[in-house]
Amino acid sequence: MPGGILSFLIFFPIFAGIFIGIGSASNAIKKRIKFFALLFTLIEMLLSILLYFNYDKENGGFQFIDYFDAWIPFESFRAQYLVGIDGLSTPLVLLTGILGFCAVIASLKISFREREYFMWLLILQGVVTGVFSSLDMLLLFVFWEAELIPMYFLISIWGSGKAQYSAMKFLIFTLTSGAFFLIGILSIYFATGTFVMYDIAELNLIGVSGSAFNIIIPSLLIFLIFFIGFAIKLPLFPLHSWLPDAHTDAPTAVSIMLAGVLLKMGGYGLLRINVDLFNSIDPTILFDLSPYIALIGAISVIYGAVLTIRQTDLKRLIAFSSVSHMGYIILGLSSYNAYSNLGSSEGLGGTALQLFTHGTITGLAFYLVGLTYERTHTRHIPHLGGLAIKMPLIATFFVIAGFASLGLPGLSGFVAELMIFVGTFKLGGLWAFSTILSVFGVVLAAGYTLWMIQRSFLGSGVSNDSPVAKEYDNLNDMDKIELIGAIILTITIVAVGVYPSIVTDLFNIGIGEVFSR
Amino acid sequence: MISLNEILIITPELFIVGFSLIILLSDLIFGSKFRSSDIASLGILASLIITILLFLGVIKINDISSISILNIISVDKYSLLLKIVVLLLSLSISTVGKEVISDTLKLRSEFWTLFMISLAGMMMLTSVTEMITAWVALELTSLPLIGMLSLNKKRYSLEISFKYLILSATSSAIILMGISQLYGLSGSTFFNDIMPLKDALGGRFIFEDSTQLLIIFSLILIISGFSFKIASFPFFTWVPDVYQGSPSLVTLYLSVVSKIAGFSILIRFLFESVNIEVYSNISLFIAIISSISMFYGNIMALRQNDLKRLFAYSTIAHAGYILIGIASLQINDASFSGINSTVFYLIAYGITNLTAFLSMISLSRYVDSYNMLDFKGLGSSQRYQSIIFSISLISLLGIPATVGFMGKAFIFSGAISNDYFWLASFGIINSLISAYYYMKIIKIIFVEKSDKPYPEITFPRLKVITTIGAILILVLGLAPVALLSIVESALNTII
Repeated sequence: MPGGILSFLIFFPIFAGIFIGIGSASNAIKKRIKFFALLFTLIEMLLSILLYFNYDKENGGFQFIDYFDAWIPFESFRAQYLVGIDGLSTPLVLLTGILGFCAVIASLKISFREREYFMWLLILQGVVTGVFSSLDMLLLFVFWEAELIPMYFLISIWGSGKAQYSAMKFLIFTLTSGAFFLIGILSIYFATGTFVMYDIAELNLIGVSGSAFNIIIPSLLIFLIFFIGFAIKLPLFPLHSWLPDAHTDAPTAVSIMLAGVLLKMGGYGLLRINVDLFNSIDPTILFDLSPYIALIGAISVIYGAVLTIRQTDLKRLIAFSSVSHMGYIILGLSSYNAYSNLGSSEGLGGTALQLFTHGTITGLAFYLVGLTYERTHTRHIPHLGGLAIKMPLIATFFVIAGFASLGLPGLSGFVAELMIFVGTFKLGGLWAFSTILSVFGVVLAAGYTLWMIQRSFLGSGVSNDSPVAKEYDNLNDMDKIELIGAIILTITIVAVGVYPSIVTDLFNIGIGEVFSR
Repeated sequence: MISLNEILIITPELFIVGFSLIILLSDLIFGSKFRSSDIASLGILASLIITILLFLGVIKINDISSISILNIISVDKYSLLLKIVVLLLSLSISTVGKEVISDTLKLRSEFWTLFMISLAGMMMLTSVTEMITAWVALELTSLPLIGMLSLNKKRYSLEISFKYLILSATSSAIILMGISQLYGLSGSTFFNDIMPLKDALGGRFIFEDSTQLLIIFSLILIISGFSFKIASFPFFTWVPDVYQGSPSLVTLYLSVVSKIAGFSILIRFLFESVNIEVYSNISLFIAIISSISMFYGNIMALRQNDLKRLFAYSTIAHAGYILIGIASLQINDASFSGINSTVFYLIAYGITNLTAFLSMISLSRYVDSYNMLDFKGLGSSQRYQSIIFSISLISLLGIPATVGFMGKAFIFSGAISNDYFWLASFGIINSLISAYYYMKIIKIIFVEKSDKPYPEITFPRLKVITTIGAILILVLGLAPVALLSIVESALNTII
């Protein structure tokens, strides 16, 4: 692969977005905005697939590195443009590529201020790719915060319901998360003198008593600062309240990006910094905290699942199920074992896989809810019913997404959850207790998923007092281009479910390197 | 004796003063045929060119990088850099003067005369190294402003200018009190001579501790007095009223130029006159006034609908951010954190605030109001200016890819590396609070809709200047090196 390919992957969508935003003043482009957006994201998706299969598994480590050190080149404050991907981030870059394309397909029906819409959507995709590939923490933070502006506009202008309230809520929560993140990276910088994550590993800080770390701020405090910052973004109970609002009121494509990629930023941050970085700073912190982390994770799983059952809005239902599924990530994180690489590989590998699978599964679910909503104009479950008769394809894919979400063997959700359960259960004690609790989360998931599908898609038709009743006869199924998006996501789900090593190989390389660094 | 050579180093100031007289005379002779604002621009431009040439070293006076007149005025790279900033900002103000100023003020050459005199004071402030001269320069900036505030024949004008006068006089008196105490203790009014206080004081006081206490007390007095100029706690109560009631141009001048000049003298004074032992005590006081300014400014701004008033509170909050940097100035250490980040942020804030203010003025002309609720839907009809306004607001908020973010990142880094972890946290919390009201403005402009027809007017000059500002915000936000290396080289002369 030629050099600069990763930078291209980051900046291509950003410039493409600006091209659509500004260039479309001319009529020729204006008429073909959607075509251009599809084309650009298709290129991006193909490139990310190419990048994924070109990652050299033999050598591992960070690859496709682009480096430019004159960003802020001062001796006492040095940050550089440094991007590269390893086993952990490569699948997430792929995920961003795939979902970016599907998000554009899901928004082909947009007709209101479309050039701004596609501009923000493309910029969002580029910025998120930047988050997953930055190796310099300040650069990572720049991308992390830059994601806010596109999201704010996407939710508040094209959203429905209380869009402006939700957008502001999203903004404030994410800024808070970013604030924690910024304090964390600055503290690490002034203790170690570098923003580059893998350089910190080389400093051999472990066991150095009275190292710069504990003088300025105790490393436990920095760990917690990062943890809270990422937990807001993930989101983890009790910091999750922004998510259902943002999801419910966001347009379909934004929900796909939000659930599919933006939440993964929190999980990725936890793996990259709280596990990877702190493994080379002070491995005992996470190890000592891990039983409590397991318990919070389990609570998040159950709490999210219980709330999900009560939801009557399709989107809100899937949003709450995300809270539940993100709990598994925290649970998997707790299987981290400071003293043994092998001891933690299943749990952490499962966590990383959960990031990927939840991205595709929830992405597909929101995609289908979006298609349904376009046709029925309501997401209120009691108003729906019998949709499978009119829209068999949407219903079929919805069932696949639902099954994957509840962890049916053969689909990707199962693999990730199983890995996490195996990883944590064998540690015994509070870990095993939390695992048992979380397994009930799967039961609840089966409950809410199947019940939702039954109420909205099965049955003989909508009830007469439903607003959908009038248009029920005219409901039509997804068209060909919409089918493409659903198929891409379904292929990923099935492929990972049947043959997990297609993704887990890479994640295992990434996790293995955490401990060898 | 002062030689001619020494006089030459203040040519830029002399130009400004000279042009202020020309404006007055041309009005007397030719009547209002001449546009005073353009003559003012010409004078500022001439002064700016000379300053830039001095800064780059094209014009050399003697062979020393920094020289001074009788140790009172020191023209080093630091002062030249800040003079350039002050002049550039003033040039922008006088350039747009024709479009922005109200009709009552348009014909008044007195306004521009006073403007130039005050500007000369600001320029002096960046280079004084002696306390009494600093006080005189401070008065030179304030007194013309009182005139400028009351020239506008509007209802509140007199009240505002009176308010400004009283607080200005009080703060001056407090500064003078501090200066005379320091003089009494050290026997000198030169910044450099106050430094070795402790040695000089040797046998004069029985209890050394009490001397220390007196020094700290007088420094607190001086800093409090300066807080009037920089719009921070404790002398900030005038800010919202004056900003709201005065002509937009004066508000702009107060918020952008006057603030930078005030900070430049404060930085130099603290940096050159205070030794590290005293500084560690005084910096806690600065940290406290910084926190109060930030919280007060941001919390009060949350509920404002009048944009000028909102900007007044935002400017108080920003004074707080800059004071974080001043609290973490490293006295003996020439490292990056501290002074460099403070000067960087000062310049970044100047550019951002100017752009934000000018865009706001430009947009407000379409709706003929400063109430943000009237700005509804301007994003679709005045798209270009709205985008620039949003960029500058995002920079004020401090989101990456803008110069405001870089400035804040540097300031907070400086604080953390100087053991002010809590202060940096306060700063970040305040950025969070400010997100609400900055984003609210952007939301009203872009998200909400309005069918009101807007007048067909254009402001070419405002457009050009705000465009330059927005470009600078983005370019310096992505590549802060450009500005930071200039700041670093300029500060090497006083470190």
